[in-house]
Amino acid sequence: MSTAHTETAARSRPQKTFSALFSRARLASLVVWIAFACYVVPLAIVEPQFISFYNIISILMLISVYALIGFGEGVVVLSGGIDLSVGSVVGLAGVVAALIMQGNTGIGWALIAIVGGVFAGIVIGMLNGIAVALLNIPAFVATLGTLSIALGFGYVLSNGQQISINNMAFLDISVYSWFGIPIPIYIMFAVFLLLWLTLSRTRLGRYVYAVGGNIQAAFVAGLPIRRVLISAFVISGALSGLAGVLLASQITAGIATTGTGYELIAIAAPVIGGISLAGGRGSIAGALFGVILLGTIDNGLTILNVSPFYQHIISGFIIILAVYLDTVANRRKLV
Amino acid sequence: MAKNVEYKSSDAAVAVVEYRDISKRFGTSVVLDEINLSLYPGRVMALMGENGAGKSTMLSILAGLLAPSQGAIVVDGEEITEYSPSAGQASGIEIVTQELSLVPHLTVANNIFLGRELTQGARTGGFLKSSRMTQEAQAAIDEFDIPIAADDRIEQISLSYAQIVEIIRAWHRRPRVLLLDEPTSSLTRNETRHLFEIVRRLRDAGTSVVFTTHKMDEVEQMADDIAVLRDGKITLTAPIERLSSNEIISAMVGRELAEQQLDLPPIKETDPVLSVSNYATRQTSEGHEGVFDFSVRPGEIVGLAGIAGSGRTAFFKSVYGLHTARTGDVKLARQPYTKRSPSNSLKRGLIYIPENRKEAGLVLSLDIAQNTILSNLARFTGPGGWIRRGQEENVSREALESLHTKYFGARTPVAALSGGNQQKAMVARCLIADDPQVLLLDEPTRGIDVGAKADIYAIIVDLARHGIAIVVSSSELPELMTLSHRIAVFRDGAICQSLERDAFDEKEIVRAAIGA
Repeated sequence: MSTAHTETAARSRPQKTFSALFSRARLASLVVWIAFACYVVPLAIVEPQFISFYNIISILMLISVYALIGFGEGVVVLSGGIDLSVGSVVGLAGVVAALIMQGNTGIGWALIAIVGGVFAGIVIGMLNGIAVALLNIPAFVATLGTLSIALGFGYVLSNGQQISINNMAFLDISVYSWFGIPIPIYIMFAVFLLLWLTLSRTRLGRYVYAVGGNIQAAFVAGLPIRRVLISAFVISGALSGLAGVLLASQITAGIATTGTGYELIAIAAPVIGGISLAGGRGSIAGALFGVILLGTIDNGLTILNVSPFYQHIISGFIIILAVYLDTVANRRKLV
Repeated sequence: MAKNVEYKSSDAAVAVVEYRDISKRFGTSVVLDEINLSLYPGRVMALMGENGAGKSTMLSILAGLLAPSQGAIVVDGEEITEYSPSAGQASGIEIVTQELSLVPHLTVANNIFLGRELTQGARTGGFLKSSRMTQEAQAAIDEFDIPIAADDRIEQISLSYAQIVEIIRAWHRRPRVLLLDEPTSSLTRNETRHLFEIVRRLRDAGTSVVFTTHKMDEVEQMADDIAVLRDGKITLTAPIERLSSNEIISAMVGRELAEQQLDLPPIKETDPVLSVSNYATRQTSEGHEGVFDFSVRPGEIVGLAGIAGSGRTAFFKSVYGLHTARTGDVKLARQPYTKRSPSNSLKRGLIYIPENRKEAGLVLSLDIAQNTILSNLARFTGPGGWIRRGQEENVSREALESLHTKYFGARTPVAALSGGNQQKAMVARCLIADDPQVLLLDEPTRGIDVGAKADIYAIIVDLARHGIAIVVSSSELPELMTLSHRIAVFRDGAICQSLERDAFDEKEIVRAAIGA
């Protein structure tokens, strides 16, 4: 055997596959970035206030709630699932927090309310995880069920009313700022950093990618599949709960329906940012990027005085485009 | 040795279809090499040969599912010009493939008439004559005497009845040639008997039938003629009554493979590290003993032979804990091992490398290091589940390099590796494992090139030398004979024969595998 010859042959072959494998995925995410630039740059020229510090802060403030549920959804999608219950959890967590603070002032009760809201999210996430991982119910159906269950509990607990919040310490969360930056923005980036490290550097994160990438291979390799799936749903529930608490602080009330429809943004954000709906591919940074893109578009359209009704239409098209790019990148056929 | 007997069946002297110098290549590999064969009306031909000999390809070309690279199919003395399923059907050729091709949610009648529905008025826009189709379908079912109704949905009936519905569908089109690719693989013995009655009736009505099989008793019961394929060539065609089973087996074996001399390490003279007793992976069928014992000692390489579907993979999966066994005890390192699951197996040093590495082995979206380390990640994580990436990379690199894997760095995607190198990445898991005791390898050389195969053999021998017990299954007999201390032959879900290295005999093994 002529070693030199075989070695060069082996060397050139994988090189080709490697570039072929990645050029498409890269191209797809590049397209999204270019589209983003095409939107932001002209807008900044026409309306300079668009890139003012004040406006950037207001964009980040707008997206901080979306980002938290988008991160949680990102983890679930990476693990190969989907979580439709996030919007209802946002409402439920707000109601729970508001109820805890009824007639109770002081920072202590504010903290208990935050924990309570997050806990409500964890319970729903646990339910999702059990249904999917232990009862083998498809995630789409299981979380569609808990979407309704969480919304229903929100209604029952609040008796269908909005529960106003008077606890000043709690309301300060969304008013207070350090160095001109409101607290929810710090929370968003802190959660992002934590999740980014968890997914890229810890065992749980690796297992999430492995289970999402090939659940059969992960099982053969002896991975604790069920624990991984449950963990992903619990993370999503907890973050939706936290988002609900922050939103309640912003609107100074707990309302069961505040998060209704948020699941659309939650799913769109990671997908726009390159997390594959098939699972196993992408990064949580993609979810952050996706949510920034959606928030910027919303904000820009507002500045341009476009009716919010159109914003829905435009967001819808962007989501379809992003999923299309995802299928192109992964060479999957939908039919 | 191989003989080609020219013959004509007694009263029907004219062939319905002929293969004329048919060759088929996929890329550089020649699957069929100048096949010449004639099929006569009113005859049943059994097509035999080992896995990969080209049987299915032969049938697919005749049915128009594949076009030949060279040569032509001749129907009634005329060469076919177009190869498509509809052209095949137009010439009266029907095929029942190994994969079920029925629509599960539709009824039996809907499926039998699929694509040729009876309609009132316009051909596609018209109303369906549903009751008439149901009646006709029921009449066809009744002729086959099976207890299903024309308006049962396919998903409601058993797999073997679905198989028969496929045959009814093919027969309902009144084919002149009926091709059955391993029709009995999912049937019970009773159903097989039943199928054969049906085939006999079709034959008596003048149909030419070809079926592929691995089982000798089926050939004896069913076939009028036999054709044996080996490495894409026909090595034997003759009427069954002129042949002995010896001649058939001689025609099947002797596939050429680059022989490699391996120096097998001595087996450790200790107790078996893995032993199973009174074991069965399937429901024991009537009159057949499906229970068996098996054991392997440290440093021993045991080869598992057997035709596709003979139970080798089911055995691996049930020992490793992916499936449950019907019955039997497993002992690992002299301890009973009852609560079997992949994670428990790995903890005890029992490692399984599946045959379909892309589906069940690797996570293609992860990189090479992540894949090789996957089962043992716990060892490379610190407090809080923090992965020590440097260590992970070094360990996997060491393992891969000791296996002579060709790759560009531990952080490239595993999908970018060639098949042979992906297989090595799987084997690397065994090197990284804490305390590997037993390695179960399912078809480790399938679809990889000759050089990589030699590497894999060397790795297996080396692991055995380090005292690991190895059980390896393969469809390539010469490979097993080179590699194993001992070969166990599976048939119908159980080990039916076991041979020591000095008693290896290819014919003997094939005979045991096909039950001749």
